[in-house]
Amino acid sequence: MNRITRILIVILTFSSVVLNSCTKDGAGESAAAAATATGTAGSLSRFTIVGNYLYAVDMTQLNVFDISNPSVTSKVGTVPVGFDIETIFPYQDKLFIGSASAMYIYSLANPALPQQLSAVQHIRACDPVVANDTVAYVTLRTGTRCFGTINALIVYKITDIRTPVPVMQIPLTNPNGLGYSGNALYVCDRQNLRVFNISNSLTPVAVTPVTATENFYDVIPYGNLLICYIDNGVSFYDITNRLQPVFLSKLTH
Amino acid sequence: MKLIAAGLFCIFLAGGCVKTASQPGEVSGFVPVYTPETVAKAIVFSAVAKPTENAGKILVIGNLLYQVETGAGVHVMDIANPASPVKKGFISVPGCQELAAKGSDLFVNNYNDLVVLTPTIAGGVTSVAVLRRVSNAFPAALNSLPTGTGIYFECPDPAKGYVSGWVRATIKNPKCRR
Repeated sequence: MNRITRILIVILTFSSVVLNSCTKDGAGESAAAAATATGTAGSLSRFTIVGNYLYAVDMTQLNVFDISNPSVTSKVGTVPVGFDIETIFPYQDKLFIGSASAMYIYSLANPALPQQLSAVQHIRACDPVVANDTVAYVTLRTGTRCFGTINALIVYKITDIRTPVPVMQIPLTNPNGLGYSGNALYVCDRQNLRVFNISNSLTPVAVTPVTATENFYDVIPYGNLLICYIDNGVSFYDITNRLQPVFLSKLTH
Repeated sequence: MKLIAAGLFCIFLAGGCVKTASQPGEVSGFVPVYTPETVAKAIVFSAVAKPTENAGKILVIGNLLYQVETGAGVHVMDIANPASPVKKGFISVPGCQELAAKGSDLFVNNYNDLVVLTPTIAGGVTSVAVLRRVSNAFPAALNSLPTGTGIYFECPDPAKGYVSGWVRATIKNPKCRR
């Protein structure tokens, strides 16, 4: 290797580090800014807002709307994703999209035109997703429009975002929406709100569930409050102790 | 191959149905309930709480919790004291299934349109203005088909208005099934 080549390599390495870190910082800031001003939805949502864009999945595609000035909101693009898409979940500069047969991960490096990073096929079933840097939790359920034969929580290791690896499958009754906060993962499972200790995020450990007379469909962890979408309304739990939700109230009918 | 092409075509048209070439005769199935456009696009806020009958998706921002009343609108709840939450009113949005929020604006679907609503908030919501409407934002409708599988239904005709629901009926040689 001659001297010029070495210098070139050094320059390239240095500039790519600088570029990467700039991109990362930028994305982190915009996500943080968005979090303060953006509403928090449950995992069953088909709409989500990241920065100046609203992302909405219909049955087959991701619709992108520029909402930088809401009074002139307009559709700026559509991205074909797959069939029977059901849910969308944002985490920092990524979108996790659940369909009846796959989990898709999209990059928001170009927020107006999300790019697919990976797609993991699984057994046909409905599947909301929540995720962070290292792990994605997906529920699969059988039911009227979900076909499948599996009712379970699936844990995917996503350290390599381009090749998610399933690492664990936990059988459940008929799981639906889910959410996490601190060391707890909450999974709606008919009349049980399953609670898992995720101190080790890749190996959730079930702790005592919460039971109710209504079915649980979805949850939003909101600070020390857990908001649940249940039959005919909503219910509220105090999760100051993340692993031991305490019933506060419900508002139904 | 023709069948596959016809199937794909139909999936794009109706978001998941299968056009059937067979003649099943008189069968039990579903027919669309149509709503005229003026009614379908009327967005009205009422400070009077409405009973929750078909609870839908939820969204929280600040001390306000919104819950979709599936196909009908959005309940507004004040959860400043979550031990004693209070319904503060109802935003009637026909065809509503989905919602998102940013700052003072709510983004909801009104059938296939995206609408941006600006609630005026003073101890709850006091009025709602429609800031923006993006017509036909979701051409592959969010939920324009009857629920269930292996069922026959009368194919929706957009010329007749918005499909606001489905009722069971005996139908003759339906062209759609899923």
